[in-house]
Amino acid sequence: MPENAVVTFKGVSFGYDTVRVLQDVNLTIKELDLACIVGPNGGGKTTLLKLILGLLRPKTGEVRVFGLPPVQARRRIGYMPQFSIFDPQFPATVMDIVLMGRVERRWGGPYRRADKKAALNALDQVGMMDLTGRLFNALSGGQRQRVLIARALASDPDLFLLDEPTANIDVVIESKLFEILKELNRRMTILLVTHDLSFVSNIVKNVICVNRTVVQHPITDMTGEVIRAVYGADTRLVLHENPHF
Amino acid sequence: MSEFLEALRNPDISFLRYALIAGVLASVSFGVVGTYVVARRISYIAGAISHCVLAGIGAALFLQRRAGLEWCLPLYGALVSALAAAILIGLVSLYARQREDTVIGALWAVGMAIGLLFIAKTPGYIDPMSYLFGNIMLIARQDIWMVAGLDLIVVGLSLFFYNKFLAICFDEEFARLRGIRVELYYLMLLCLTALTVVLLITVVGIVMVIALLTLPAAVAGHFSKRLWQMMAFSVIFCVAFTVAGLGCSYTYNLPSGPTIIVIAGAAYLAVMVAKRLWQSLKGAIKISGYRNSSASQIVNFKNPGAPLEKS
Repeated sequence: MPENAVVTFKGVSFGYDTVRVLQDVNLTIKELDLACIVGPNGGGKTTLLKLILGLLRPKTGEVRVFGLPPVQARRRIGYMPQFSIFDPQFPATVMDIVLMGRVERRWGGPYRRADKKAALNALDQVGMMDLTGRLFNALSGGQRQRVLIARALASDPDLFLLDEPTANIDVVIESKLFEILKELNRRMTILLVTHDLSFVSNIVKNVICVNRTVVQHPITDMTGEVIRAVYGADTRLVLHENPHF
Repeated sequence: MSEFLEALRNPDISFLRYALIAGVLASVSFGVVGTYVVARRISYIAGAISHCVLAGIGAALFLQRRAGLEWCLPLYGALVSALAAAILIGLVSLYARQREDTVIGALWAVGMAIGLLFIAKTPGYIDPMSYLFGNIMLIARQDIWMVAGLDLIVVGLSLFFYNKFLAICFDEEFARLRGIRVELYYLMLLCLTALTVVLLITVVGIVMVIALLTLPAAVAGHFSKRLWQMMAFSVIFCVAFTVAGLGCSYTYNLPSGPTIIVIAGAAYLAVMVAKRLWQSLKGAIKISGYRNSSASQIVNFKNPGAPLEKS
C-alpha cells in the first residue's frame, strides 16, 4: 500500500443476489486528492460509495480506508447525502442538524460548548452563520446542501464524501459549492459522486469512471474552444484512452 | 364542567380522580415518546406493539385465576408482553426488510388472538372490552404509583438520549456513519414506546391508545421548529385532550376512552383545516401582490414552492 493512500480497493467485487454490480475493482485515492466518481445510473457509483463507508461489505477483495477496514475508519469520514431524502415535516433547525456531526462524542445529555463552537465554525466555512436558528426544511435546496456540508465538517473529517452534490441545484449555486470544496481540499481528501458523464468542474483533479468496472483518469489540461463556447464556463475534457462505456 | 369538578372531590367515585391523575402523569410520557414515534414515522409499529399487549393481559389473568398466582396482575402481563413485542417487532423491522409490513401485521393479529384465547380459557367472566377500549373503573390507587414510576423511567431515558434519538430520527444512515449503534437505540425507542402504551391502557384501551400517542404530536408538529418544542406542545395537548375527554365523558355519561380519542381527532382535523385555510389565504395575498410588481417574473423553476436563493 502506498504511504499516502486514503482509500484502496484490491480486487473488489460486489453483487446484490444474482446481479454483479462491481467486478474486480482496483483503486487508489491519494491524500488531498479531489476525485469525482462518474458513471451511468446503475453503474455502481453508489455501491462504490457504500463500500468506502462500510455500509456494504465486498464479496471478494479488500477495501481499506486510512489503512483500516471502513467501519473502523468511519469517524474520520465526513458524508453528505442527497438532501432530497429528508422528511419535509421534520422539526429541526440548522444548528440542530449541524450538531449531529458531533453526536457520537457524548454518551448522553446535552451538547457541550466545544461542540457548539465547532458547529458554528463549520457553518462559518459554508457561509451560513446567520441562519443557525432557521428551520432546515424552510431553506432552499442550495442552503440545505450547505447545511449538510457543515454537518459533515463539524465532525472534523479527513476524508469527505459527497453523494450527487450537483443534483437539483442550479449553476450559480453549483459554482459556489465548488468554491467551498476547493477551499476544503487544502486540508482534506474529497470524493464526489455525480451522474454527469462528460464534464466535471475544473476543480476536480481525478476522475473515476464506474460502470461495473472502474477506470481512473487523470484530467488533461486540454480544453476545447467549442466546449467553452457551448457551456460558457471553464470545463475540462476527460481523457478516455480506451473507451469503456 | 362544574359537575365534573365536584365529582373529582367526591370520595365515592375516587376512580375518576385516579383516572385524571394517571392521565395527566402519563401525558408527559405520551408527549415525549409520541413525538419520537411521529418524527421517526413508526406509528404502525407502535400500533402493533399496543395490540400485542392483550396477549400479556390474557396470560396474566389466566395464571392468576387458573394457576393461583395471586400476584400476577394484568398490568405485569401487559408490561412483559409490551416489551417482548417491542423487541420482536423491532428485530423484524430491522432485519426483514422486504416482508416487514406483512410480518408486523401478522404479529399484530396473533398477539390479540393469543390474548383472547387465554381469556376464553380463564375461569369466571372477563369482559375483553375493558382492555380493548379502556375502563377507568379498573384504576386503583396503586396504579398511580406505577404510572408515576414508569413515567420517570420513560421521560428520564428519552431526555437523556435526546441528541442520539434526534440524530437517528432525522438521518439514521448518518448516525450510523458517526459510529452510533443505531439498532440498539431503535430497540430502546420501541421499548420506551411499549412502556408508554401500557401507562394508559386502562384509561383509553389497547385499540385506541395509539391515537393518543400520535395525535398530540401530530398537532404539535404544526407549531414547532425543534423536536423538543414539539415534545413540550404535545405534552400540553395530551393533557388537554385527556382532561377534556374525562370531563365530557363524566358530564355526558360517555365511555372515557372513545371520548378522549374523538376530542384528539377533532383537534387534529381542526388544526389541519385551519392551516390549509391560512396557507391559501396567504397564497392569495401573495399572488395579488405579485401581479402588481415586476417581481412576478422571478420564479424558482426547479422547485416552485421553495423560496428564492439569495446570492
